[in-house]
Amino acid sequence: MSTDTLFVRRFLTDYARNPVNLLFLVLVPVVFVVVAAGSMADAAKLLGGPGGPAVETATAGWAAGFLAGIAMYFQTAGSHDADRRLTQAGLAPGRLVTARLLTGLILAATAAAAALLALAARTGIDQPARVAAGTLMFAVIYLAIGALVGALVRNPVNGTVLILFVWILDVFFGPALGSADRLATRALPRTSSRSGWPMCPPGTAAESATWAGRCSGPSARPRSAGRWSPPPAAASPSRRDEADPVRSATSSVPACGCGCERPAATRCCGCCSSSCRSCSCCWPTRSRHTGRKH
Amino acid sequence: VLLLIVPIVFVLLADAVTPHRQEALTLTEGGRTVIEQFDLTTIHRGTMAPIAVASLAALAGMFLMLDARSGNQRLALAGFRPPALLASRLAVMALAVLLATAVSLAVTAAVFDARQWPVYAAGNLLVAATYAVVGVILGPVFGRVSGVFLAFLIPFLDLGIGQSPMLRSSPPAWAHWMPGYGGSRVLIDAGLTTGFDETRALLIGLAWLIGLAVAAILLLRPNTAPANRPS
Repeated sequence: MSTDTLFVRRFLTDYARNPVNLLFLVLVPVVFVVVAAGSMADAAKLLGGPGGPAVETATAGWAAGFLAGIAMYFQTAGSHDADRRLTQAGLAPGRLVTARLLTGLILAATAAAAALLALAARTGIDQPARVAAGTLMFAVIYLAIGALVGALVRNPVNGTVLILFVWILDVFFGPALGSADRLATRALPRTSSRSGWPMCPPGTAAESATWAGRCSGPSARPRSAGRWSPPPAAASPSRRDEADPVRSATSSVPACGCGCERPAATRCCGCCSSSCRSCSCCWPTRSRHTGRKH
Repeated sequence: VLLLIVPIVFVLLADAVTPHRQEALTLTEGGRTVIEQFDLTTIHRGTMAPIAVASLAALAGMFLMLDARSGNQRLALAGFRPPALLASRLAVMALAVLLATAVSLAVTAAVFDARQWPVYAAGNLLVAATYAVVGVILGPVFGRVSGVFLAFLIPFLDLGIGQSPMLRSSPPAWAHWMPGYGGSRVLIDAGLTTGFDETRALLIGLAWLIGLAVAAILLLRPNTAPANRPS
């Protein structure tokens, strides 16, 4: 057994020393998804967001993210003294950090798995691989936030409040729970766009550039797109357009690249391919998979 | 600083992001149950602050008491009487709660005009104090990590989902059994109507606060008692 594995096992044992920690790591996301998902979708609709199954699906990611962030915060902040002693005893800092991060990753994966199981039981999951990847990405991002806060803020009140603050800003004022293109919240993190059920808003070129790195992962890309497609303004008429006389007649208006099959003025949202101004997000791509109309 | 910044940001952002739309709300006015239409922005402005303050109060209550444990034991050994020790710890927590509530009310006042300000402020304070005591209990019972999970989950489900007037015109049956029910009904009534009609809700809220405070004191007493005092 390598030293790294040994440390990961010991850190996990330390986390599970209070068995309630393990229980709540599973229980909290389950309760959150089962109780809150529907209400969050309703709230999103009220606030001008997309609402519906997209938000309910995102709830699993939000739950996993918060738990991963808090778990990692305590992994980091609560172990400063022990870590210092370990490095003084000769353990390479890199290996220690790796072991801590792997421990956090296992905890994050546990929370994500619990949230996904609850989501599957509650509403079902249309695209399991994509949703699982998105939920795990939420957890990993908040894992990094938890590690960062844990390294910088040792006071647990301040640390946990800071993580809660980031999380609530992200969830409540991000694009999922409100209108995607309002000015007041354009600068906020947009975790939902990473989730694989994209909600990236149309935006300016600068915004697109800012968030492109975050959203460029394979899970943020609509499956139907297959690969990145250029902004429709620059795209040539598709083969389907050539075969369809009606679409061909309207092909002078560039087609929306998000899959909603509407010829419309479009802007690149920078997250996956492009989005339609009339639908404001990439949701139609998903609706084509599920057969829903938007 | 975070106790001050968080409510400010919440209230101002809630104001900025809510669209103007009419929503029906079930209220009690003059002893009668009435359904009135309100602008969604008005409702959101008035109800966002308590959610933020409750979460903060629960976390503050939990960590203030957990961090004070070893200090309490030393002070008890040094001769401090348990009631005085408990009272001083609870006073520190009350001060943090008062500060966060006062700041959130000051910011709320800039965007929301409550019909009965003193009662609205009291409702906010009741919610914050209740959750601060919930935090005090969560820490010793569940430990730091699980305590934080619950300090986030319970106020969120209670105030953010169950009591939210934005999601339903009146709270669902399960939400009547949550700690935030009394306080949130009081502050909604005080924020949106001209007369106070939520005496029953106020009593329920106070009963929760007193019950939880008694439980917290019983839980903390062993920590403040000089069990192994050297002779």
